Amino acid sequence: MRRLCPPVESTGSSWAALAPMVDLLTILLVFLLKSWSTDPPVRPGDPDFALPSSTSQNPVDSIRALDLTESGIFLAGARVAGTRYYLDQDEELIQELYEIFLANPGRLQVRVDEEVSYKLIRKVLFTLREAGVTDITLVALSRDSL
Amino acid sequence: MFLLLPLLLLTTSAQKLVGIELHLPGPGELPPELPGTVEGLEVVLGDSIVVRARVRRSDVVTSSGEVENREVRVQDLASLQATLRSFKDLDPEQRRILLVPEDAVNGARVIAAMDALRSDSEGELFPQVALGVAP
Repeated sequence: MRRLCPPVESTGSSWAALAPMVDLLTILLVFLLKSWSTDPPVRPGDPDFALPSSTSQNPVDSIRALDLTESGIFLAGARVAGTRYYLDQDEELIQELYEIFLANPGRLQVRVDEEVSYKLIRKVLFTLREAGVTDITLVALSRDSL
Repeated sequence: MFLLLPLLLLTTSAQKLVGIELHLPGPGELPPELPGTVEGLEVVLGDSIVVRARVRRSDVVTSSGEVENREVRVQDLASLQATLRSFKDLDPEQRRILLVPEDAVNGARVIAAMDALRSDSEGELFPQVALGVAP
């Protein structure tokens, strides 16, 4: 009986084609293992928020986060103060923040937008210190991020 | 590998976050700076970068030694690190530095400067970075 489909001779070329793919997958695996992170994505109130990058290797804990953006100051995603007033004025203490943290000091992450000026960062740090918050972690994006 | 790859792709976050510890001491809580060859090291970050330090001319550490005030102006972070390395070579025990950004400097530049002050390609520089206020 004649076969309709003659068997394909194995020439070894299919295995040869598989080798580069395995190499590629190995590189991909190493890359993913190096950049592997389970940090939840940063979802601040301001959609234009972008973290600066850092060479630091210290991991961050899951503690409450204060976001400083050009449009406002957000605590756990909720807007607590605007920034324009404090950027224009010489007043060092940010009253809204002071009242919140005076009642509840503790460890805090400060996530600063890369475009926010140091004038605002300085006022926020001053306010936090006055309210009794002394353990602060500045959060940045690792250079190993995807 | 064929199991691990999809697992990693599903669980990996695109953002790997790192932290830079800041301790904000209250008034009078900051311990005094230890006497050394290089003291009062500060970096003013603005359009250009100014490094200031008091350097004792004698190796003998005394409270009344002869002190030379040095000021170096650099343009970029690579030059800043080279300058700081020369101070670090003078006083390897010194770990503290004051970073004083001007008000207009943005957050990304402050973080980049803090990274540059902490270490360079040769190793550790000044890991205890304090943030100050420009006069």
